Amino acid sequence: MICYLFPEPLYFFLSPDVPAILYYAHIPATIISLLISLYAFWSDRKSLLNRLLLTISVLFSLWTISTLIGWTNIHSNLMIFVWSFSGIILSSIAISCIYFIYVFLEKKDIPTWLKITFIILIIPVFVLTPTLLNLSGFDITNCDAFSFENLSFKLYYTSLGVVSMLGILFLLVRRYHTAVSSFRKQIILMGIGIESFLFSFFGLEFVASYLTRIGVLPDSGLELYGLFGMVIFMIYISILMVRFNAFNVKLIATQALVWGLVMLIGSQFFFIDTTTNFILNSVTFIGTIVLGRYLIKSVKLEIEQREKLEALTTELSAANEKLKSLDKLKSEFVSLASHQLRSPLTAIKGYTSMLIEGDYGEIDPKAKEIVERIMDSSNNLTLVVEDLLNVTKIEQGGMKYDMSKIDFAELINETAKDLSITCEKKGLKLICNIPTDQKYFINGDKEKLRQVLINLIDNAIKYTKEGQIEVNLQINNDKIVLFVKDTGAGISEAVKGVLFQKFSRGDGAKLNSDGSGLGLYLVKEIVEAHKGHVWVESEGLGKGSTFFVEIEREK
Amino acid sequence: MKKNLFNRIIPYFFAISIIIVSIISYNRFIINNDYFVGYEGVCDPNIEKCFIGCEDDECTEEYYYSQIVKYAPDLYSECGEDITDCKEANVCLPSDRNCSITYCDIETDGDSCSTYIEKSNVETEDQLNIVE
Repeated sequence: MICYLFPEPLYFFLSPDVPAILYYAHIPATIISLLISLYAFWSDRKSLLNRLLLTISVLFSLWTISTLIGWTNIHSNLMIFVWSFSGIILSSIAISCIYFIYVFLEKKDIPTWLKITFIILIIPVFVLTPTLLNLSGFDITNCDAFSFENLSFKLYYTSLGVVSMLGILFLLVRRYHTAVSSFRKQIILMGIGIESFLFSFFGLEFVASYLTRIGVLPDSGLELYGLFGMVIFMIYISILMVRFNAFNVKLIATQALVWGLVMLIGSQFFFIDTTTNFILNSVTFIGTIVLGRYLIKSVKLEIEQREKLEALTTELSAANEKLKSLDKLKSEFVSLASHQLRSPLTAIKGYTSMLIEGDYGEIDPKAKEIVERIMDSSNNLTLVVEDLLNVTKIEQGGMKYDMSKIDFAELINETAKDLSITCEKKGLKLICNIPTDQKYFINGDKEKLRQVLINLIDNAIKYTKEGQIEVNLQINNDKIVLFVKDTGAGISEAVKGVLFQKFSRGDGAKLNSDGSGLGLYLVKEIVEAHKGHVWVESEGLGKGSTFFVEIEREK
Repeated sequence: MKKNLFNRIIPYFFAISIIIVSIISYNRFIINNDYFVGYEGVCDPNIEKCFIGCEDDECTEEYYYSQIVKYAPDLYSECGEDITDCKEANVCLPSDRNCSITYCDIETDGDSCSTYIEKSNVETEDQLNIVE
């Protein structure tokens, strides 16, 4: 039977006798919800949350399709058939929403007992849908079935919507208390979105149909406004996607903005009457899509580059941390090893000294020469061990300086005197003519500075084959400048830059294969700890070199 | 294991349920037209208490009707798809199953009922008085 007072619709959905708001409420809301939920589903198909969001959107779409048929069609059998599914669709939406919120909040599937509860609640709706207890007839004058709906059945499935609203509110509040601050913001946004949707959708649907049934309203047009609740819900879902990467979707604000604009312009087509407006709107629509795509691409590229940079920075930071810990480990190992070497070395030096001094009787001159060599090697090894230990102390921040006012000139003279024997043995001349008309007081640690002098002079001796080594002091404004000049192997420009680094050897390393490469590093560290400065000058290989140490003068 | 099996069964359970419900509903409403049809039937306010309806929103023109409910297959066999100009639609025939015609009841429907019968009765009484 047809509704004899209403015209036949065109193309199944288009009817001149319905309010324009019908299409504006149904179609954009359906398209927006499907697009967003499909986008989320496509980004992560395995996610239960994304599947539930899609389920809600699909159910909502089925609802809008069925109500569109209800509003525009005139065939009673088709309309009553579609109308009969209202209960199933509404109750499924209610259950899906509460399921969705639980998974969103708890990040896991609902427990089995809850699933069974939902099934028990929804089974009566399924069972009674095709029966007289749902719909008994259809009014072909008003073209609706309100007067033939079983109010108890309608109340039952509508109450599932109320239960869903209350249940969701309970879950949101419960989870809010235990959530971290960033998730709390998400909870608030999701709560506002979904409750707005449920309240407007179920509330207005029930109120409109009930008031129409009792004759207060001429038709149920009021329920159309309830569909905008879905748009609000989707806006909040989009905000969650953009700001919090919810649903495991990498959606950027630009994309959401552009698509929102496209849909807004597209929805204008429902209101256009004239051809001119249609053409203008079409041009705007196409232009927005094209420019929007270009904009999205550019912004996406920028974001990708920034993310790559951030990833590289993170990797670099991690590598740096690893290097630091390895360095620390190495320092600890070196320190441990050096300490372990000290004791045996002390024993060797002690016994060789006793042998040289004849504590165990006179020894053969040739044997004495060999024992003296053993003594020299032990002394060298002791220096290397001391250097290693000092380096470890410096790296671990454990080097302590006993600062006091010292006569630098006196210290230099003492050290030069100690090393003059070594110098003479090698056939080199050590010149130390510090002017006595000036006072060369500095604030420093005497023993550490002695170490510096030993390292510099000893280096000069090691790297000079023939000629002389000159040690002197100068006063330059408020600073004292020590220089150690030799006629040795010289230093190339390339090596100058790395000479004061750990384990760095000069170009004349062939002359001194015993060196540890730590002497100059220690010199630099100790001088800098005294707020001083050390550098080297050389005209090149074979032209000797001069090491300078500049320290603040103490008056 | 049992939990996984249960989780896997649920979607199929719902899908099958929807299919079954759809088939039963389709069979009932589309194939068998197993439902009642309500409509406004013709009503003579001189004889019956009729509902008053408005032709337009401003109610500049009224009409009178009764509420008729007939079983869809019966109505279809009597009047076809469109019941306009179908006299059988306005009466309950002996062959009709569960046909009912509801007239307006002043006690329950109040102002929606026509008062034409009272007026016409009053006029008749007045006329009688004059004659007497």
